[in-house]
Amino acid sequence: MRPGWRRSVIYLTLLGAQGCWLYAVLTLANRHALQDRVSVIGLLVIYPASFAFNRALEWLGWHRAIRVTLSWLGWLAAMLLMAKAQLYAGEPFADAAHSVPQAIGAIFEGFRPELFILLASILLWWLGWRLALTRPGFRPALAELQFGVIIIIAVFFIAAELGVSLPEAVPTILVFFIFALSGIALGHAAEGSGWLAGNNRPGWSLLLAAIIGLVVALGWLIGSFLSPDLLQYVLDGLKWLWGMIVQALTFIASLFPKPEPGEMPLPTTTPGAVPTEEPLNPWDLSEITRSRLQIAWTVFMVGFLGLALWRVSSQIMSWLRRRLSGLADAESEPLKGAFRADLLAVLRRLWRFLASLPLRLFRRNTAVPENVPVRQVYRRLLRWAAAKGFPRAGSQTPYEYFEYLAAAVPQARGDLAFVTEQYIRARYSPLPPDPHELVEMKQRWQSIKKARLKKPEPERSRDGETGSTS
Amino acid sequence: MEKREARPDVAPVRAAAARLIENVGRVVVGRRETIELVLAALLCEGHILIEDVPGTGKTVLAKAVARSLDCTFRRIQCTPDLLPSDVTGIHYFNQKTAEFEFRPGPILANVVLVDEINRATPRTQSCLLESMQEQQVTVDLDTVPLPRPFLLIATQNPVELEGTFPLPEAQLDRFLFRIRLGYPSEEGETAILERFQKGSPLEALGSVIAASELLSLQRLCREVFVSEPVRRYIVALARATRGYKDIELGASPRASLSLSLATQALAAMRGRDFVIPDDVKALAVPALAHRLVARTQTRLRGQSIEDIVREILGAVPVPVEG
Repeated sequence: MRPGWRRSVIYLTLLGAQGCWLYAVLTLANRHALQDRVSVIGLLVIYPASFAFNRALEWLGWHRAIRVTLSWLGWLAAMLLMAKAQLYAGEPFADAAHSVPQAIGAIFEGFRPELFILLASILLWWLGWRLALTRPGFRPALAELQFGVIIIIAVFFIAAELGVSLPEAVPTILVFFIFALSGIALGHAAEGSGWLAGNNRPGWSLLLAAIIGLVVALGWLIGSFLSPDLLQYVLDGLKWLWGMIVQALTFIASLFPKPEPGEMPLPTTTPGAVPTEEPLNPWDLSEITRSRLQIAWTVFMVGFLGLALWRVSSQIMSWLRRRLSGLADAESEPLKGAFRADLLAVLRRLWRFLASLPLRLFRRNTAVPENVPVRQVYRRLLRWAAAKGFPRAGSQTPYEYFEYLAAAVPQARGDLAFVTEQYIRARYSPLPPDPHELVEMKQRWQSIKKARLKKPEPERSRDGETGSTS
Repeated sequence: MEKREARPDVAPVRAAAARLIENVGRVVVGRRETIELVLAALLCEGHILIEDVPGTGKTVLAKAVARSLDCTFRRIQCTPDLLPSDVTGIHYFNQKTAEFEFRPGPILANVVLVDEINRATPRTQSCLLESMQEQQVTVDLDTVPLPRPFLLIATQNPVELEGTFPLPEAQLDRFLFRIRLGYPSEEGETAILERFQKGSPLEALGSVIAASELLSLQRLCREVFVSEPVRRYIVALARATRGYKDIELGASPRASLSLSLATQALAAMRGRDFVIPDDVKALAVPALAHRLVARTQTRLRGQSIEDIVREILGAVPVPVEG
């Protein structure tokens, strides 16, 4: 398959996989809160439309501010058109326009279709924009599988908890797996390794087709058994377990002697009146507390299952990847505690980032004032090149990156050399840049922006020193 | 904000480097990068360890550099029976003058070639420690300063290990660079045969840099500017070697200091009065590899320490925007 076609197909699989879990989430919300008043299929059209619109904007290569503004306008138009088509279909445009203030006011009156369409359109447009900026490959496809599985399981649990019937959930899951697994296989092949790039392609293709068929057959079998009733049965089992725990705790509490009542003035009661209040049971929970505990328990179970699934799927995928790359005989050393260490490292990084947010807002720019424009121009160059598919590797020096980028845009080699040279002087030399050279640098940057880059090849070694691959 | 001092003019360094490389290149074929490393070591008063199989031009290189510098050159052939006094010199009683006189050893020269240093006993090797680090030798309680400039080029053969005494890490750490020459290319080897056919071109080699000029060039190199981001990058590289999964003993602060000084020399040789990360990357492998000790499993896997340093170079981010 040609690289261009492969990219398109991988995009299609990512669209399909994301679309499946989006469909499940939106259907659940639509059915539970709005009684199916909105067409979810129609609403999902926003997602590929956003993807196509934002891809087109990226291809045009306009200034980032213009692209963001146009994207926002595109969302607004898509959202209004969707609301018109779904809620005010029978009305002419003029009347629908008069209904806009009314519709905006209706958003704040509770969870109405207008609010649903607003929120769903934001989510769909944002996901489409994000996908448009993502480089299709193995990692996005794998992340999509992991995330999608968690979302779909969460939808299952919530639907069972709320008593919402989702007969279309099972075929949605099957379609999701077809898209996700295909995307993973193609993404792996796009990296130049794996079975799709190897010699035994027909054999592996047959195996993949057999696996997909098996998954579909199993899914049909499971779908015929799996039903909200079964899920309710599982939840009832969990509730029974919780009840047993509560009874055990009550029993343990009863083993301790109750405290002797102290000397207290007796309340004045009418002679012969019988106290009607029941003795206070410490294990009697109020309804609010009970529902909150239920929600917390559900969130905990979903999170726990999600983490477990994430771990299991990562291990399965890495085994599959090793297998497909012909490294099945390589020894792998399981690192005890690695997942926990990684998770703690992620949480620490998140904490450090959140803790540094106030500092970042008030941090003084310590760059030499005269050098700031030069560094700003270079930063724009890096962002522009990264958006075009030529990001700088962290370990690349400016000269190494210049050689890498100049190969992609040979007609701008001279301009790139000048900009790189100016940046190096500004960054590493103590002397301020010459004002005339700064003006020329900005002019050369403008001409670089107009240049068309050659399409990036599949990710291979980009580091100037080592042969490290991504 | 960095101080805006008067910037040094490194043009003389660049010109001298070009002259020396061209001069040595008449004798040593196809070793431009190696000659640059030798000159960089000379400019920052470092020492070099050349590790290679016999017959690859180690001695020729050292002699050519010495001749190009108009400096005194001495060669020490290390053997197991070499004594420290054979290196540093001795006090002997002159019967004519009835006084003790000092006979300087071969170490007291500008350029000293220590051949097959791993054949000398640890006792003799240790007497070189003081000369390399302190630029002086101690003979019978007398401290004798070494001449300046002072460059020690040691060689060792990585193949024959019987009867050798591997250099301890403490001494390895005192070498600025470890260089492996390797075999020349086909064209290079053909050029060697052509050049050496009628005689050694080493005999006709003249000096292109005076010793006094070299001292001023060394002072110029120290003036080359090293910015804060580059300094942090050098430290990050050294710190990355400590605790790296394949490294048992990482780079010391002496290593990061040596790397910093060497980058100043290299920047000056390339005509810049400031150091850039490319200079650091160019010198990281020769400056760090010999100071690191790889884990046993890594050695058994056949991974060289140079590859590990390149891996680290690929992992440590360079101080650039974004």
